[in-house]
Amino acid sequence: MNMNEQPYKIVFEKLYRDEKIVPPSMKWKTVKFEEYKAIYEESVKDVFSFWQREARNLTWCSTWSKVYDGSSPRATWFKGGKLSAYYNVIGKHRETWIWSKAALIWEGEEGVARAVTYGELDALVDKIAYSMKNNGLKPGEWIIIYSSPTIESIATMLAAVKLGVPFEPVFTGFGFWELARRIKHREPKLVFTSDGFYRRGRIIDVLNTLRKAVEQANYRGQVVVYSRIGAPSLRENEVLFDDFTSTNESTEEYVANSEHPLFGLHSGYRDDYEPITHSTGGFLVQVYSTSRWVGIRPRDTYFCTVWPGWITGVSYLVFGPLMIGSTVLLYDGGPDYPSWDRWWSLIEDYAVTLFLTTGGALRLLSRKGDENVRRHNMDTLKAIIVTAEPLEADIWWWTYRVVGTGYTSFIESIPSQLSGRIPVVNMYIQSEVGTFISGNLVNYTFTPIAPGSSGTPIPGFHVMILSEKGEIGNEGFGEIILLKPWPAMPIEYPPEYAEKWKDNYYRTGDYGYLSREGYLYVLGRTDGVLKTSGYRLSPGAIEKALRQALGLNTLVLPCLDDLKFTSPLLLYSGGSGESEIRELVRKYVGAISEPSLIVNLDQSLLEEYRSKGANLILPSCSKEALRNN
Amino acid sequence: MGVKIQHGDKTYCIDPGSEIEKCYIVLCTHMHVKHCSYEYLSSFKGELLVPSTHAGVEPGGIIQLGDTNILVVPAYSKPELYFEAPPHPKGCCVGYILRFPNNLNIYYMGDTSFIEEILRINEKITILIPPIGGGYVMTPEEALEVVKSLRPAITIPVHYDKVEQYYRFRDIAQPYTQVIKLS
Repeated sequence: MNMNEQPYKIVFEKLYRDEKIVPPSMKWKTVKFEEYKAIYEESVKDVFSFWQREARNLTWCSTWSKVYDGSSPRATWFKGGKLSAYYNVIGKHRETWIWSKAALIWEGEEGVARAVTYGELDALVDKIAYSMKNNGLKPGEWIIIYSSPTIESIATMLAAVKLGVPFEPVFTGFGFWELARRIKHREPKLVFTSDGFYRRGRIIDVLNTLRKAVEQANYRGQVVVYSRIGAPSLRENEVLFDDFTSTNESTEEYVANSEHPLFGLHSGYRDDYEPITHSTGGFLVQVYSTSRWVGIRPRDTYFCTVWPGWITGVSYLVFGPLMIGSTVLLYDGGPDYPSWDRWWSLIEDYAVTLFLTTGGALRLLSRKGDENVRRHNMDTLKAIIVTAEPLEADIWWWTYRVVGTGYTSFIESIPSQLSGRIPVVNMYIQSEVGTFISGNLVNYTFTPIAPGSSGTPIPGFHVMILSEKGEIGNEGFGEIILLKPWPAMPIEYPPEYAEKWKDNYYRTGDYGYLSREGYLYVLGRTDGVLKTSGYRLSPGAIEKALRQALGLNTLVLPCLDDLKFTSPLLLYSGGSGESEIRELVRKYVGAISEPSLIVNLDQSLLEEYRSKGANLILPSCSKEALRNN
Repeated sequence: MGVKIQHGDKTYCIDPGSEIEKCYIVLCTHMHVKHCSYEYLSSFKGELLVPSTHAGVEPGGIIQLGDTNILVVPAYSKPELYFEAPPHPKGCCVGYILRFPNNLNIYYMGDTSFIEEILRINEKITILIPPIGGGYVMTPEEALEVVKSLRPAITIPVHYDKVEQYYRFRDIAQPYTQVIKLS
């Protein structure tokens, strides 16, 4: 029997409904299931030919000699191919109508807004790239970006892309200790940061956290500080962004081999966060195709609430929409300030057409009352994309009806009855895969939506189920696997990732259910990793931090949480107090990892839980759930 | 009715009504009290541009102010749209295109119908500020035609009484420009 049978069952009951919905706006675009099946099966029969066709949508300086070389996990896609990543993201829009349209609109929590066109963004990128090159940065050397989303932080990522310099964006929700470990792993030549940002009207001191990390990591490289909230006094090795970019010079675009590193993230595994790196060619092919398929178009104003620092933010806030030429709205603030309608107000005021957010955020917003939503006219919205974690059928219905109906009658949509109008699609993504793997595609194979599901697998990704008996099938419960490789396979990865490759297929570490029709329901992790408010967190990293700071023996288990999906439940033995532990977790690892429950146990009992296996998920975050397991 | 544009350390106030504090220059599209009024402007010590009063403030005129130049463009009500005398007869009013360095061009249209002269504007507009309230000025649909002709990067609609007019304009103009609502 699966030790997590009970929590998976609880999740499944919240997700599964025997119903299919065709939103009115998709009435004439929905394909028959047989049509989807035909396209999908054709794509996975020969994924190499399929992705090779997709790769031709990019501009290559020289074409690949071999579409796939090596054997998974160590393999190269588009071997021998050379391309300029920057040209394929920004440069190609030069001399098109896109060049003079808005590329990025930024709004801070305090209400200040800025916008740059593609042409202006390119000019800014040029200044940064020139200064980076002038400061000795060479292709293949890393930079780290530790900042809330600003025009300057995105432009710095693009400058790195232009130079062939891989970048790692680190989420500002991580504490100094986690940031220091990322600095140590990547050995960056430059770190970009901001002095801070506002959250609920208060200043979050980003620079101070970075300085602690720099000391911890003994980092001696350059720190570029973007003055977001004031005029910070600088230390040695720190330079203001405006001074760093004071020269108006241009740099050439770096032409990279397909397997050249593009960017990296630290992905959460049971015992720690581990670095993974994505390639230039394979990643860009995959992200460009999936971005078009999910419905991002040049004329869209696109609001993604997931920040770079997470795979969705890198793929679908930075690369995908800019490759397509849409306008990206960056909001540097929380959804609840000055009130819980801030996101809805942004959608109304900026004519947002595509909204991407997480299931956790919608769960929270749905509890704040319909009135917060309904007092805003969001009729420009064409689709709502949800990601990062399972989306309960109830929350899907709330989003579809309350957010997605609007005020204008449309085909069969009746506003007064909140009957729904636009598609709400839940997508399944993973850092290692790089892009969405499963979900209804507004601009490709759109089948009726099964609320609670992550749609149907996306063409090109051979999604199957590995049952507990070890049998591979296309129906039933089990671990979600990818039977065939994909272009954005990581080119640098930890042993934990390599171990997930077995008999030439990849085990995602997610448990799920594939229905007879092919709808995928993701039910939780199989490997003890946390999915908290959409963030993939490592329990082991929390344990390590507490061992380091307090010499404390701990065990962190995921427990099912009504709001956050799973939450860290921390068991420890020793003399420290709960508040001290909380404070340390917040400071070292970050507030996103703060445990929902902390329980002090005898050493023997703690070891008993450890021996049960670190993959255990508790069905609720309570002492009772702990006792019963 | 109007807007304030901050560029560098200077504030350009267009049709500021009574809010003329901290204005570096006041640009009046016409002398209607909600837009510009001598009552408030009599005490204004800075640069002032009023049609038919100050030199160069007529369609085709160019006013140089430091590194910024201002192109004066026509704005009026088309007589054929009104049974009685048009609210803004030709010659009474103007619009302004503020041409800042770095190719930033802001076009404040003033109270106007969708007139043919607009189609002859040969400037790349970065930000368009059109009136959309209908009645004395363009309707959302007419303002959309301006957007389609000029293809500004950003459009900030003004001069409307009902938020529904903003929604109407936003929903039809969105594919052609980035619409932003001033709060």
